[in-house]
Amino acid sequence: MWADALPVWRFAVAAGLNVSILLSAGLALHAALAIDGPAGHRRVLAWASASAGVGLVFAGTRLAMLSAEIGGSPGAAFDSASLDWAWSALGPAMIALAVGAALIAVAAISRASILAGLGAAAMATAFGLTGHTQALPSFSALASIAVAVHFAIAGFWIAAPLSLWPRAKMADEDLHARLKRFSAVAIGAVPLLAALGVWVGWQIAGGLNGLVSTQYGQLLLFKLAASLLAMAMGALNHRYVTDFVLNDPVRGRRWLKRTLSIETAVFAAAILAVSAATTIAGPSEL
Amino acid sequence: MSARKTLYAAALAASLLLATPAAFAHSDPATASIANDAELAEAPASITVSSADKIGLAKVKLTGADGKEIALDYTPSKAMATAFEVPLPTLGAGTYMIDWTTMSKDGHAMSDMVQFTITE
Repeated sequence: MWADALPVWRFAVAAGLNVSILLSAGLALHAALAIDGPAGHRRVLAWASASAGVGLVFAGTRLAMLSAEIGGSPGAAFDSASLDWAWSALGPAMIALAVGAALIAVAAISRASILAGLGAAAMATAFGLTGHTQALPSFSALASIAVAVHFAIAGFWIAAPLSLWPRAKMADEDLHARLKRFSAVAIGAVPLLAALGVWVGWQIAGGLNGLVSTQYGQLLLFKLAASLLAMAMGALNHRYVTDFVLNDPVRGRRWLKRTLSIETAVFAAAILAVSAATTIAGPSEL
Repeated sequence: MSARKTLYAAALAASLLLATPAAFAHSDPATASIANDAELAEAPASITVSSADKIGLAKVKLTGADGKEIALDYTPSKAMATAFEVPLPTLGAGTYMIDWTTMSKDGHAMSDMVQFTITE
């Protein structure tokens, strides 16, 4: 029965949407903050634009799935009454996503960094406009802003393995400069990311008991643990690997590939956890 | 950061953490005024779908024992409310099912149903 498979589909679409939009916004921020440097600017913006396009497809699929769920059958995906309800829940976020994708596409063509930054901000806003923060009895607006900022920083961090990967053609000096620029932003932003994540999770779960005793809270705690592991990799890069890249390039690049690979795996686990928390671990499972 | 600034930051963080909502942020599933598997001596004139939180009633459907849908004189509005009263047509003896879908503020669609029998 299609309803039995619905949670799995919801989870798959949420994971695809989260990955693609986080990457798009993150890469756009790398371009806006010139992390990628002049040499990588065009490539990073092209990736950001392509990822935004994939994200829009997932967003459209999510809208159709919610419409089908409201209508009670897959055939109701494009039923006007059901679609109207689904749009009332997801419409503002979809408009923000579309605006973000358009701005990033224009930035990729014109290479205007400011447009890339605005596009990333629009995408972050989209994530603040949906989800569990909307149902908070208090602090709903503050939590929505916190989610948007949390999302933007998470995207910035998640895009790091792509724009910092030590490609053979990249000069050691260029790679070192990228790592330095990334660290300068990450050192302040990543602790803020963790603090906002803890606060929003605390508010949504209703306190410590909700965090430890519900499936939803446990998934958020798993995401926090994954973030701490990724922070440890980031600290290792900042403290040792960045300088190795200049002083001992072979060893430095090898270590950088290892830490970025671990970060990628940790990010994937964190995104899967948060996708499950917002889909499979719904109200009926609590 | 000075000791005073650290203290202010810690106080702000503590106050935000302590200002915890009394309940989980999810909307509670809606309940109906007719209990599931109820046996009623008289046909109900209406059914009320309610929730502790404001919800939207996106869809409501009445079905007879033969599985055929029975038309309702009710058009779901877009308004969010804690209760929706849906008038029912005159029903004879038999078993009926009412299923509904609500939308919570966080964008979740939640479906539920009750089955009841009129014994008159």
